[in-house]
Order: sequence, then C-alpha cells, then structure tokens
Amino acid sequence: MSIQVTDLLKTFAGGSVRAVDEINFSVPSGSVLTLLGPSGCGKTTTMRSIAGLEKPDGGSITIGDRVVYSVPQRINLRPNQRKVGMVFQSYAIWPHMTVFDNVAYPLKGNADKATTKERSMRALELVGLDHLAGRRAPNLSGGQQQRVALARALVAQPEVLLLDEPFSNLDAKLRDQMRKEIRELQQSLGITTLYVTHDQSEALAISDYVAVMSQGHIVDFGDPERIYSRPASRSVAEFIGMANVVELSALRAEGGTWVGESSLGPIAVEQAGRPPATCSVLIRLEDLHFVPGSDAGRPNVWPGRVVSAIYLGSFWECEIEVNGQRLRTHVPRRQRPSEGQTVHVEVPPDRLYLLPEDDRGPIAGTGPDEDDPVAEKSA
Amino acid sequence: MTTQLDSPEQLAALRSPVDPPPATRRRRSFVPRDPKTYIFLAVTAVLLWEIAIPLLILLWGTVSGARPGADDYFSPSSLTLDNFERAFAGSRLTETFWDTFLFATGTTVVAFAMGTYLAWVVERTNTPLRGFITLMMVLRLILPGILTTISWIFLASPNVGTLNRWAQDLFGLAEPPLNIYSMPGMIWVEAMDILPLVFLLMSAALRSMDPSLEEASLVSGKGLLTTTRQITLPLILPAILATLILLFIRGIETFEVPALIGIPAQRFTFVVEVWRQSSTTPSDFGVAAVYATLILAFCSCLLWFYNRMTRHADAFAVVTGKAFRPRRTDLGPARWATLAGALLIIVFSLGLPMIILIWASLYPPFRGFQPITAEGFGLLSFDNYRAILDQDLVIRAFVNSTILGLSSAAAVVLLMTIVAWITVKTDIKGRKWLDHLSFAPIAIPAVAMGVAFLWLYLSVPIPVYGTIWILFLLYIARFTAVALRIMSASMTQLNNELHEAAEVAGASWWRSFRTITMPLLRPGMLAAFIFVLVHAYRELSASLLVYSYGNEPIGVAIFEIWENGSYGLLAAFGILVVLALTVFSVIARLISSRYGVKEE
Repeated sequence: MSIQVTDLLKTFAGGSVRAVDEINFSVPSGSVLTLLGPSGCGKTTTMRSIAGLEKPDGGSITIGDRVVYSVPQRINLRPNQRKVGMVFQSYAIWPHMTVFDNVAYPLKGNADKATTKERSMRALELVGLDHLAGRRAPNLSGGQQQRVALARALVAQPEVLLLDEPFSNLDAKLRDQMRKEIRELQQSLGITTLYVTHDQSEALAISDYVAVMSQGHIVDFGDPERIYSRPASRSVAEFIGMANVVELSALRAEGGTWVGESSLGPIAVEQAGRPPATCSVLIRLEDLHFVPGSDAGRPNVWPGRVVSAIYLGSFWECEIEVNGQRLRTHVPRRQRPSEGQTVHVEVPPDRLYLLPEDDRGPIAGTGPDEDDPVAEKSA
Repeated sequence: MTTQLDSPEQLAALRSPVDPPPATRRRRSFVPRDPKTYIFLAVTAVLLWEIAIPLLILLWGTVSGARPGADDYFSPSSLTLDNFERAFAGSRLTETFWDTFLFATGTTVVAFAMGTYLAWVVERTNTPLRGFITLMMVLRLILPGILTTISWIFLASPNVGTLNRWAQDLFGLAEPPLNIYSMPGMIWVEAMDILPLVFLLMSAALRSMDPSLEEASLVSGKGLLTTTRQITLPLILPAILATLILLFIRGIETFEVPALIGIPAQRFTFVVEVWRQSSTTPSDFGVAAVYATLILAFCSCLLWFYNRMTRHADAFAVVTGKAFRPRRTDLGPARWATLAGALLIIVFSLGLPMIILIWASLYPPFRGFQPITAEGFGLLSFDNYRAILDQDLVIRAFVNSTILGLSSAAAVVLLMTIVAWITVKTDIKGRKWLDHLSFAPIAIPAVAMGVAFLWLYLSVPIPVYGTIWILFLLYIARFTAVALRIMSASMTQLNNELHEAAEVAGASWWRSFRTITMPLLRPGMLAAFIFVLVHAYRELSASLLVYSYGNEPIGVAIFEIWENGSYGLLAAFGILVVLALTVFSVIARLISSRYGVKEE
C-alpha cells in the first residue's frame, strides 16, 4: 500500500501563508519515508492532511489504490474512513480508559468480543505491554504511553502508519531504544510508514527515504546516505549533520579531478559528472583530519591553527583557522588538541562533494538539534 | 584551563574560605518565622469573627427562644426546641421544600441546556459572530438580578406585560397567554439570569480539552457522534457535574426571583421564608434560623461534591505544554441555523429585558406603567431621568454603594491576598483551614448571612447596627470567596524562582517581596478588586436585612422604589446602574488584557 501525494496545497490566513506549497511525493509500499524539517516547514500539516485531520486547499492524496482526497474529483474522505494508524505527538491516550480499552477501541463495534480481545492482546504483546493491559491510562510513564499509542495504531491492521514526532517527549536513551524497536516492528510487519520529525539523526536512523522540507517545499528527497553525503543544496547540507561549506571559484578539470580556488587554497574534488556552474564544496567534519607536517604540499592539505577545542567524551570538537577561514572538525580523543596549536589538516578528494548554489537561503534552524547530545555525537 | 586537584588539602581550600562576619549571623537569627505566624493569627482572627461567629449565631438561633438583643439571648435558659416544632409544622415545610426543589431543578436544567448550547456553538463550531455572542454573555453577567427580574415582570405580567399585549393584539386572544407569576415563570427568569455563568464555565471546560484525544478517536475509525459519546463526554463529565451542582446551589440560594415573582405567585422557597420570618411582622426568628441552617447544611454537602468534581476534572487534564487549538466542526450551511438559535437566546436573555427597561425609563411618570405600543411612543420623554436628580434616595444609594464597594473591595482583596499567600506559598500549619474558612460563604445564602449579621450585632455591644459599618462588615464576609478564587490563581501562577532570584541577587526578603512579588500580583489584585466592586453594586438580599434609613445601597434602593410603584423612576435608575457597571467592566477588561491576567 503506497501513499501518493500530488500537488498538495494548504494555505492559512486567507491564502497568504502557504504552509504546504504544492508538494509531490510518494511513499513506496512497505517502506518508511520521513518528512524532515524545522518547525513550521509544513511536515505536520502534510501528515495531518493525509490522515484527514486537515482539509487541504488543493491537490490529491491516494492511499494504496484508493483516492482519499482529490480536488478535481471532489473527494474528501473523513478521517475515520481512511484506515490509517496514527501515533500523535502527545500520544493522545484516553485517560478515562484502561490500557486494554485504549488499544481495543478501534475494533469495538467492528469485531466480536473474542476477536477483539485476541487482537488487542496481540498488539500489546507486540509492544511488550501485555502485562499492563488492566492498568488505568494515567498511571503510565511516557515511554509506556507511547507504546500503547503504537499498539492502538496497529491493532486494526491499517494500510499505512503515521507517526507524528513520536519521540520528542522522551529522554535520549529511551529515544534510542524506541527508535530501534519501531524500526524492527515496521520491518517485520512490512507496513508503509510516514514519519515526521525535526531531528535529523532520527530521520537518518529510521528511514528508507527522507524528504527534507523547508517553508512548505520539499528541498531534497532520497535515501539517508545520499541525503547525507550528496545533499541537494547548501542549506540541506547544513541542516543534516554538521558541515563546513567553502565557496569555490574558477573550477577546472585537471586529470580525473575537479580543482577550484577557495579561501583555503586550491581544493581538488573527485566527483563524476559535470559540477554546477557556481558551487561550494561540502566538507563533513568527520572527513577533515590532522596530518603530520611532512604531508604539506599534497593536495587538499592546509596549514592551520587550533582556535578552540571542546572535549565531548569520545572526541574533541575543534575549530581550526585556515587562511582566515574557520573550519570545524572532530578529532579523536587521544590526539588531544590544544588551543593555539599549529596543525595541518587534510580532506581526501573523494570525500568532498560539490554543492550547487542555493537560491532558497538557509533552512531555519541550521545544524543538528543543539539540545540533543546524541545528534552532536553521531554527526 | 584545567586545575589538578590531587590532594585533599587543595580540595578543602576550594571550599568556602571565610565564615560570615558575626554581625550578619546574629541578624540572620532575628528574621524569624514569627512575622508570618503573627500575620496568620491576625488574619485568622478577622475571618473567624467575620464568618465563623455569625454562623454560630445562626446555629444558636435555632435553639434559642429569646429574641436577639434581649438580655437573656445567650443564656442557656432560653434553650428550646420549639423553633424546630414550628418550622416543621404542618404542610409548610413540605410545600417550601417542594417549591425550592422544583425551582432549583428547573432552573438548573433550563440554564444548563441553553448555556451549554451557546458554549458549544462558540467553542466547537464555525458559527459566525462568536465574538459577539461571547460579549453579550459577559455583558449579561454584570446586570443586577433585581433589574432583570423586574424587566421580565414588565414583559410578561398578565395585566401590563408587553409580550402579552402584543400576543393578544396579534392573535386576538381574550386572555393573556403568559403569566410570569407562576413556577414556570420563575424558572424562566432565573434561568435567563444564570445562563451566562453556565456559558463561561462550559466554555472553559470545552477549551481545556486536548483535541488530539478526539482526533485519535476519529483516526481509529469512529465517527463524530461516537467520538463525542465515548471520548468527549466522559472527559468533560466532571466539569458538567460541577456546573450542575453550582447551578443547583445558586437556585437554592437566589433571592430576587423568588421574592419578586415567587411571593405573588404563592410559591415560597426557603430563602424567601428566611427573609419573611426575619423582617416582616410577625417575625419568627427561630423558624428563620432553622430554615437558614437547613439551607446551609444542604449547600455544604453539595459544595463538598463540587470540590470532588473539580479535583477530578484536574486529574483528566492532559498537560502537554503546547497550546491547544480546539477542534471546530464545520457545520456548513447549518451554521446559520445555529447562529439563529444563539441570537434567539441572546434576545430573550439580554435584548428583551434591556429594551423594556429603556422603554419603562422613558415612559412618563405618574401614568402608571404601560406596555410597548405604537401610541406610547409619542409620550416618551426623559422626565424620569430628570426626576432622578431630585431623588435623595437615588443619590444616596449611588454614594453608599460606591463607598461600600470601594472600601470592602480594598479590605477583602488585601485580606485574601494574604490568605492566598499563606495557603499557596508558606507551610504554616493549619493554612488549609484558613482556605476552607474563606471559601465557606459560598455555601451560605446571602439572606442567611444578612440574618446572622443582624442578630450578631444586635446581641453584642459593638455599635455598628444602624450605621453603614454593619454593611461594610457584611460585604467583607460576602465576598471573601470571590476574591480568594482570583488571588489563589494569581498566587499559584507566581513562580517562586522569581522571588528567589531576587534574594540570590542580594535583596532582603521584604525588598524582594515588595519589588518583585507585589508588582507581579498587582494585575490579579486589580482584577479581584473590580470583581468585588461589581458584586457590591449588585448586592441585595443580605443588605435588606441590615440596612437602615440613609444607608441604602443600590440594590435596596431599587427594591424600595419597586415597592413604592414608581416604575419609571426605577427603570431610569436601573439604566444608570447598568451604565456604571458596564464602565467598570470595560475598565476591568482593559486592565486585564493590558497586564495579561488570566480570566477565571
């Protein structure tokens, strides 16, 4: 059961705010697509439109072979007719019912008591909460509530699963654990899943495909590895993971590589295909490393000075000044950089990527989630 | 910069090196908990005198055979059970009980239905003019009950009621179709008076629901009706029950409608009986005390249930820290029908009474009161308004109510700020009882409180009876609960850390309280002040028991003019009062929106 979204448009404030600006995408059957972007980019509005909780202003949405919303065909199915499973950001567990009643709710009236009980208990086993079936809902921890919400979303065996920032209220360790569990669950069930988050490390960890959104548009689409190592633009590069972006000029072909001039000096990039006319080069922090002074003169080796070094446990985050330009890098903890130290840094030509110039400007909220140490460490 | 701390000596050296100088230490031990305790005792003493003692007098009155003020009033020799005998004699008790029960139940049902309908329309649908509807409800809330009761008499009395005249002219009826002097009439007028309160309470309940709880139900495959039945209603149920209980208490305690409409209709509620037995001759204070105590006991039980319900409602509140956008149902073309229904309710609740009041105020005096007819329009004039300026009573009443209102509001707000602070921010033992004591007046009908104050100051040698001071003391007792509710909320919202940060920055406790805490409390205090002021202007039933010539507040003045039959003058007076109250409310709204006070 795939999801197809065509020309989806949603405006607010009488049309002046285009929260979702005629976007197109599809979620292949059985895979996980994540809508990734900062607050206000339109990802939640898109998901709610698919669920039927928002009424779009244009476009069409198809789930499987059913058209659930279409302006030209004048179709707009109500949420209870769309057969989706949804986990809300606040979990939306009903406080006046027990865990079992919460999970069994979608089945009530559609199946007999025995089937309801069996399927509800099975859903609870799936999330590991069958021993809490009789507990009243308010007496659950955040993680438990979230699992109940998941069980409830899956119990009616929907065609599609929607997850709206389900981990944002959990602490870091729980988040990691739930991430793994949901991924395993999704794969064993093979259910088409749409996921919404602002946390880019979560998006990379859990998805088959990622759609990066900004101000109502999709600015990049692809699998996590492609998005990370070959992002579509500078703003996407700076939003996903941590990046140094250096502008290039006078790009020319030399041998099998492209060489351009930059404030660092000449940079050699190994990349197939024609690069864009004006571009910058993306240097990921983990690809920039220290080399001994004897390597000076080799391509992509520059001298510099350590401006700051912050100890983060498994590595040091350093700022290096090279020819007046600041570069950030992650240095293994045993190398113990110190401020003022002169170093040589290198990035291998095949680890660089040429980025086209952005005409959209930065995605607001650049860089990984600053409050999330997990994201910083894994970047 | 890393410092190697290798030795315990170095570690010790990093600890606080110097003891504070001896002078500071000695001063610190003289900032004792004692000031707080003294304040607590002082405030408790005041409230005990204002609330608990009158209650005790009331209870004493049930078993005392002597008259208040007599020398033997407090002596055990006057103990008797005759009061109970007379109170429960014959059919009087059952009739009174039945009338009260019917009235309270009817009012509750009608007001709840209409008020909840309006709340649903405004909070949960896309009906147009929602802001207007809300404004009308707020305006209705400030109108004094006696004025609206009188306007309905003007509208639906069998002889001169405007609606009756119109119906008879339009449909050619021989008999007037509406008789306001009946139980249905009483229920209708009281329901119209109280439905804005229902609107406010139910709006708040609907607003506080997390919409994702309903959305989760929709996405789970249930339709709107099932969702409402299985999710929305159970979660709002505590708020619904709390509102119903509050309505029922109001129905038992209200005075204006049972007095002005019930007595001519020969339908007597307990509250009216208490008043009649206390102030009309022949008076039977013992029976009055018994009835008052009965009401008290019953309302206290109801209040206990009310508290349990509101606590339940809090337990269901889902706190996610995000702002809710409640789910609005798109009614499509049906929204014009819902708008029509809402406007109809507003016309009956606010429009008609105001129109008839304006008409009556413009109708010339000394011609008796006539319903609205085409011929009447030619006679309209401002004579009544001119006459008001010559009326000593009217001017006196305005002055009295203003003095009483301002002074009692100031006193009550000051007292309740202290009580709220003690209850919310300190750990003094017994502060819960202070809270209960201050809220107790909710269960005491105004009439009963008036009676109690009357007997108290007749019996003790404090010379306030016959002066305006007795009214001042009475108003304080009447309005503690109202002010405390607002100040408690303000106090709870006050973050301790603001005060603590000031102390850390070097300010003494008193300076921090003065420069940080008090300014932050000011909006709440102002809101409470104006709230009490508006209530003071509307006060009637308690004042009726204790006022004396020259000290009439506005409510009593209106009542007296009504009994004199000067309807035109009364209506003009009423319009002026409404204008004054509207001005106060507008000021209150401006202040609260400017300072961001949360509306209760």
